[in-house]
Amino acid sequence: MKTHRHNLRRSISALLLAAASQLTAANDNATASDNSLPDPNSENGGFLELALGVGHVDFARVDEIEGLRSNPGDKLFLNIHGAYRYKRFFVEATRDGFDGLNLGATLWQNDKWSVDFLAANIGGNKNGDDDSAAVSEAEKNIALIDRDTFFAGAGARITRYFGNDKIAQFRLLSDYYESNGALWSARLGKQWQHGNWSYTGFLGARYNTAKLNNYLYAVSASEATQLFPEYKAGNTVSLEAEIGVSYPLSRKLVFRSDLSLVRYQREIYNSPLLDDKQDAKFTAGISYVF
Amino acid sequence: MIISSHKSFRRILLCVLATSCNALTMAADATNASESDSSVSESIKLNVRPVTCVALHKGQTCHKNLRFSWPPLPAGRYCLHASDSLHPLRCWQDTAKINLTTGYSSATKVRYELRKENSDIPLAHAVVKTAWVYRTSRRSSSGWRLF
Repeated sequence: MKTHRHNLRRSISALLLAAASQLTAANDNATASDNSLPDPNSENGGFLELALGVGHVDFARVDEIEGLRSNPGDKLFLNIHGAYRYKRFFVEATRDGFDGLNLGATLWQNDKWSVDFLAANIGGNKNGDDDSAAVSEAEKNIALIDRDTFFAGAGARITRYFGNDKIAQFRLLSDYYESNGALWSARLGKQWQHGNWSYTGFLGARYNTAKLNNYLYAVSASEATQLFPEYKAGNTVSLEAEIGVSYPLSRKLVFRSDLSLVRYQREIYNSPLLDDKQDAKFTAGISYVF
Repeated sequence: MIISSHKSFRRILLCVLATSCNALTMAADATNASESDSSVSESIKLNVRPVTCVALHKGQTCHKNLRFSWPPLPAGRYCLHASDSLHPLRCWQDTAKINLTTGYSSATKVRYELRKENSDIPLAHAVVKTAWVYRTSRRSSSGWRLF
């Protein structure tokens, strides 16, 4: 009984990454025989990949209404992921579901630290409908579950690298699309290699301001229905976790599987727009890397 | 006195001739051995599968089982050597042996040589290289996640 829309984000990602792929092809001259490790601070390049696979999603947000909307949790997906860096500037649309699309520049870095300015962190969905036109109870219900969750923010990202396999990161972002609030997040991540299998894991926490939570989860008096009564949210801290495994099948193909969880605080999961306390997503698929 | 000097001359002459013969014999042996090795070398092709080991990210060590094969060799004892190892990976007597499997673990490349035992001369060689799917460093290619 659930639906989730990523169309806009995917479209933006596809456009930007299609452009990035041209640059990638032009600049990525590394070969199997080029085995020296370049200075990461000065390396240009990146990757672009198409991922095809299956997954099961179980999001906390109500995204189906009996008789009006239904959606199975099992999905067949085709995603585009990528990242490209040119000197200080970068564009990232990595495969995890938490960060969305990043456009930014590195202000300062050394071998242990990186301080980035995020000019745009874009995520969520935008349906483009005029919700004020919803009059009937059913129209209001549809408008609420199709509510925009689009976020376009700017801010800072500080990353600490511990060797080649551990990382800690802090982000602070403020929405400038409609001044819908701010968030910060802190994460710890680690990678393991066993044979040619790469395992990854991270734990994190995300703080949303009340303003951002109300944009995402509140129901105003004019929006309220019998199914979705009026609700107002406060500040929250949500917990995030993800584990993943990757295996190179060839120089172009990678098998990848991820399990990700976001656990919400009471201020969020008490919203009538949510019917669960966490988002859960499992995916497994093959990526073609250009 | 005359007799004695005559004997000495004969001894010297024999010695010179013997030394020359010995030298010629050694040279001939060496030539034969070299010709033998080179003729063996010319006829041997060391095949290995796969020739490329693929790991995920640039700089990672790649692990793979390699399968070597070669045509039947002349009688003798042979060894397979790897450039990243002081000792031979495997030695064998059986001339009918035409393949073996061994593990590869490298972040760069390894040259494998088929040699006669206790010889430094490669009869045949093959190179296995490590390649990566993501060929820029993790740090620049995938943002914070690195992975």
